[in-house]
Amino acid sequence: MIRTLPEIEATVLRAGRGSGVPVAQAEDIARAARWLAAAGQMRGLDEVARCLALPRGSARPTRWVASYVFAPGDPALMLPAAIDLALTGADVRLRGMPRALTGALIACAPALEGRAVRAAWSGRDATLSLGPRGREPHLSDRSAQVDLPVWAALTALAAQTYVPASDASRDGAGAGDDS
Amino acid sequence: MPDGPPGSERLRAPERVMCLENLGRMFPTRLSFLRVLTRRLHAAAARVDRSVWSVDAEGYGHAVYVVEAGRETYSLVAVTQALADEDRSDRVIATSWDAAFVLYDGVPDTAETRRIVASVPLQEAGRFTERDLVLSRANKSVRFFSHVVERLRNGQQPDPELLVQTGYLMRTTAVYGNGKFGIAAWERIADRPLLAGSFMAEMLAVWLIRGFTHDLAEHLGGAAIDANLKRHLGVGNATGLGMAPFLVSHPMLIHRWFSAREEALERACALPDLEGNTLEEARDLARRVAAHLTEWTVGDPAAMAEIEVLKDAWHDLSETHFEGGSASVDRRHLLAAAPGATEELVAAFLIELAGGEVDGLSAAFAADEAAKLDPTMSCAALLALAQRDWDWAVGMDWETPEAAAVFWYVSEEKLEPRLGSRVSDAGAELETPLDVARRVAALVADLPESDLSLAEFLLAHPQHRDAARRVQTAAALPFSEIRDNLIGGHVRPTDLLRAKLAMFGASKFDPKSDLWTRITLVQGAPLAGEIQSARALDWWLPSMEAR
Repeated sequence: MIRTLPEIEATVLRAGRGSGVPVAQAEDIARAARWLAAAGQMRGLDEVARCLALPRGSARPTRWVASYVFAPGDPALMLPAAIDLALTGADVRLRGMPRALTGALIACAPALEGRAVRAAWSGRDATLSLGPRGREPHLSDRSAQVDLPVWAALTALAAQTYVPASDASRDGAGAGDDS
Repeated sequence: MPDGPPGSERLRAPERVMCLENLGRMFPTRLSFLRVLTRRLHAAAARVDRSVWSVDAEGYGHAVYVVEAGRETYSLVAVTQALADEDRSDRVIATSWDAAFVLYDGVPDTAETRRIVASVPLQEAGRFTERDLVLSRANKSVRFFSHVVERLRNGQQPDPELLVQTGYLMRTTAVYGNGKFGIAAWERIADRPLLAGSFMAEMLAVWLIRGFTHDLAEHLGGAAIDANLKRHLGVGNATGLGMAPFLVSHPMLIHRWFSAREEALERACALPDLEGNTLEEARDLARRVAAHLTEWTVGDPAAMAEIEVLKDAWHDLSETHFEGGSASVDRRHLLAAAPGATEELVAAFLIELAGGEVDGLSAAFAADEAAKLDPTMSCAALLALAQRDWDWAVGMDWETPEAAAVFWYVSEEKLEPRLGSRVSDAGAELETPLDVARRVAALVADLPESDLSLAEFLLAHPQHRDAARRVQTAAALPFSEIRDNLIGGHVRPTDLLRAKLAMFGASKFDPKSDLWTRITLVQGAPLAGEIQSARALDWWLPSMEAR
């Protein structure tokens, strides 16, 4: 199915919130999802849907002695936290995190004093470091073809933020009629 | 204690400008999007051609209007259909309307016109393409529309008094842009000279819709409406909660809008005193404002009382400064002397007088970036910013029911924002995060005054990431936040709507409750054939009397 980039971003934002992700992280993931669609990396949207469907966990790294190591747990909370830490110059390692979503979150993260987070992948693991921002792929402004099951999963999560209609909710809608 | 961003001390204090009470008093200015649009159309020597008029004797069918502005060409496809009186509703839950519209990128061929004519009456239930830039619908103001048609059929013009009371033939109930229901994303038009900036495609659609409403009434009435009357016929709009959350979810853009407005006011105040010709121009404009206020009548007694207060204050101000023989008026003094309820009107008046000194500030509306978090900041530094900028939120007693009396949510029915009572309505656990003040207070309660980096703090407190980002953003961009509690028992969503609609260029605000308002758009704006005349540049707070 065809969906516009704003529709993808808005739906992922609601899906994130519906799955219990705090609003800032949900916004970051929604922007990353839009970036993935704009970059033509549609399989990344599948990663997004699967991450959001996981039970919510912690943002904390699995261990932090010489370096911060984030092993599979709750990527929706861990990846923004890991990127934040990498921006401080900390030694950050990722184990088994979704690669496309990681790349998109990094691409959408800020560069501080000209230095951006970069990921060096080795198999399913990555080391985050600071350096010049990598070359960005061509980003389209066109609508994207989204797999139906992915969209269904996202909209089902998004629906968890909706309050069923009632007379009270209709009264709260505003824009009524008058004579 | 950290200082604010450089230069911000020249402008009015953000906590004064961005509180709900003040936002609820705002007026359109020459930076409002509709004014920007008509200046751009004028500069491009735009031409509008009604290329298709396939409307039957009952007023049903479709029409196509093509506007050429420089190298850009857009078309409004308008479709009208029969609608039973009982089905005519401005509520968001309505499913059919008198008219429906698409603003199209280019000129639609026969197949594209056929596609739009078939799909546009469906509105949200339809699916559109990237050639479609804006989707909208409108209902007739039935009694006034019928009055105009009857008058024209009888060889008469509409009653000017009735025209002033109503102000429009049709009112839109939604104007959708930016990717909704398949239409083009904003990025696709962001670099076009006519449409770059905030909501310009939507504004172009509204201006063209207004021309269609005139043509439809003239078609049915069999005669032309006098141009002076026609110019005063804008487009009505019924606006509910749908647009309110935008002001919270786009902090960077909101800063651009309101800081440009404040910068314009500062530049206006810094201009030389009004003397000679500039004083004469100000006197004329002050009289137009007085006439506009006289023509602004609403049904709600409380809202009407506020207009009366404004009218009296404006009368006093005009008598003192413009009608009393003053040879010179200090602009900054004029603003300082304005009583509270009048200050925003005086601000808009001064900005209007500043003319070309401020018009270029609208270029700042062309970007909408995401807010970024600086995770390297220490908790102590963030705490200092929060204590400086959010003391009103941090000091609030969040344990009282009044502090969190209402909650915002999205209804399953239409996926639109709504407002509920935390005491009596279900769904508070699904609250939309417009409780920014409460979340900043919660952040401050957990934030240690230490060198710990924000990144490390957020490992244990990921729920505070949004509040931390907002505190940082507001420190750098002081007009990015509403400086009020949006879940308090006192909140009036119409204050938010007023501020945003004033940025659009709306006037004649007519609140029907705390939840929704009627407004008039493009009233007094140039007609299609006048866009190349001086009228395109001078239509702030129009009045029939002062036309």
